[in-house]
Amino acid sequence: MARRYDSRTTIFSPEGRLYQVEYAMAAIDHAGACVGILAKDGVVLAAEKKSTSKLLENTVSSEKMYKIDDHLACVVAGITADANIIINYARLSSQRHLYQYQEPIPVEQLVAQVCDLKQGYTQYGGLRPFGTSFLYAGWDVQYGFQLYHSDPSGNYGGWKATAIGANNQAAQSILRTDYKAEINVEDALKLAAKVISKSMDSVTLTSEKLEFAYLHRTEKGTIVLKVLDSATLDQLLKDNAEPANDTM
Amino acid sequence: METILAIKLKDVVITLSDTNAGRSIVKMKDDEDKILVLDQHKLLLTSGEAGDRIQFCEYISKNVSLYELRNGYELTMNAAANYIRNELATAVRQSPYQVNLILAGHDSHDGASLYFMDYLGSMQKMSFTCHGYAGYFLLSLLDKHWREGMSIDEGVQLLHMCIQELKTRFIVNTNYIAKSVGAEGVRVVPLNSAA
Repeated sequence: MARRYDSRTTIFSPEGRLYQVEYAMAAIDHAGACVGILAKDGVVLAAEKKSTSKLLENTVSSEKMYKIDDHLACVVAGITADANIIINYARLSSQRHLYQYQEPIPVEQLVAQVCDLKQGYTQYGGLRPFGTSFLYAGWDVQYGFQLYHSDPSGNYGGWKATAIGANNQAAQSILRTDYKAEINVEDALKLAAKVISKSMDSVTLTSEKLEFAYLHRTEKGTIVLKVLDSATLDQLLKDNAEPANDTM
Repeated sequence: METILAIKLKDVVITLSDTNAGRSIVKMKDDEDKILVLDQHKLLLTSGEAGDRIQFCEYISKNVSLYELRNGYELTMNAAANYIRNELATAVRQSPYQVNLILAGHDSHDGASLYFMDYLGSMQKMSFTCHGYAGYFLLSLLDKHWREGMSIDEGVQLLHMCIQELKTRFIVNTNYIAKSVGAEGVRVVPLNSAA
């Protein structure tokens, strides 16, 4: 019944659904988990890497975590190749704004522009949607630290804490109970470690399979994205992670 | 060439423009308002080619409004100034806008600020500035009398000094209009009361 209406993005089904968009979102539920937590002095992003092999070269580029500008970073869940296109577009948008206004792009404006791009692929051209969701962490003068989530439909929302990718429902429910409004980055990192460990498939909790980073403001006022090195991350996991195998 | 000038005071920028609108030897209008209220906290003073002035002003004005409607907040002064400069600089190698401008305004980031821009797309953030023939008469006067953090009364006094100088030595006899912009918004400054 659905089969007749799912082959083209640019058409509705009789019930008013866009199947291709929904299928895209389903693809993301199989991707590596990502968690984002907004703290009062920063934003924490954590992600589980799906492709890890001893033979894989540790290059500069990451599979999950990307810097869009000095004040903006994001984590990806979904098709990496699709993500690369969008990241490139986001970086371009950010620099274009900087060129014209001589000021860093406000976070929501960047997210909205990326989402407008994604939306286009659900309405024109007959091309499939992007199979990626993002969590954006950023800072601007207007609203300070912010966390946003966008999905293949081109919809976005601002969040205090959220999760995407595999087992995101479990992750979200833990965040719902454990998130406190005035949390700081240090505690947010601990919470992220706990949450992501519960939504990971594998039993082994080492820094090899994970990427943790946080956006914060230095004393001088510059925004910095700090990626945790493996030693710090291992320690953080050791102290805070609760493997999925443990009963709650 | 028309007179436009702006002076930065403490938390407020005070601006002056002549009200003459003419062609060659004919004075068509003597109550033209050349100080455009760009948004609640910005003034755009323009002088130059008649058609270009209005075209450019309206284009900038509508885009500034669009930004505020889209995002729920006004552009900062720095962003607005650079946006305007960018438009001028992009046009200069195709079909230049023959417009000289002063952007004066206030934002929470920088307080009161003013930017000088010319038709070639150059820009400078200044404490006081003027375009047109006024500069020949007034820059030295402003150099002498301007201080950091002047009050609005001192500013109006300085403005009257400038008008008096122009009335004395400048061949063009015209009326003037003055507006101020600060944290609370834009106000017309009455000039008839003698300083």
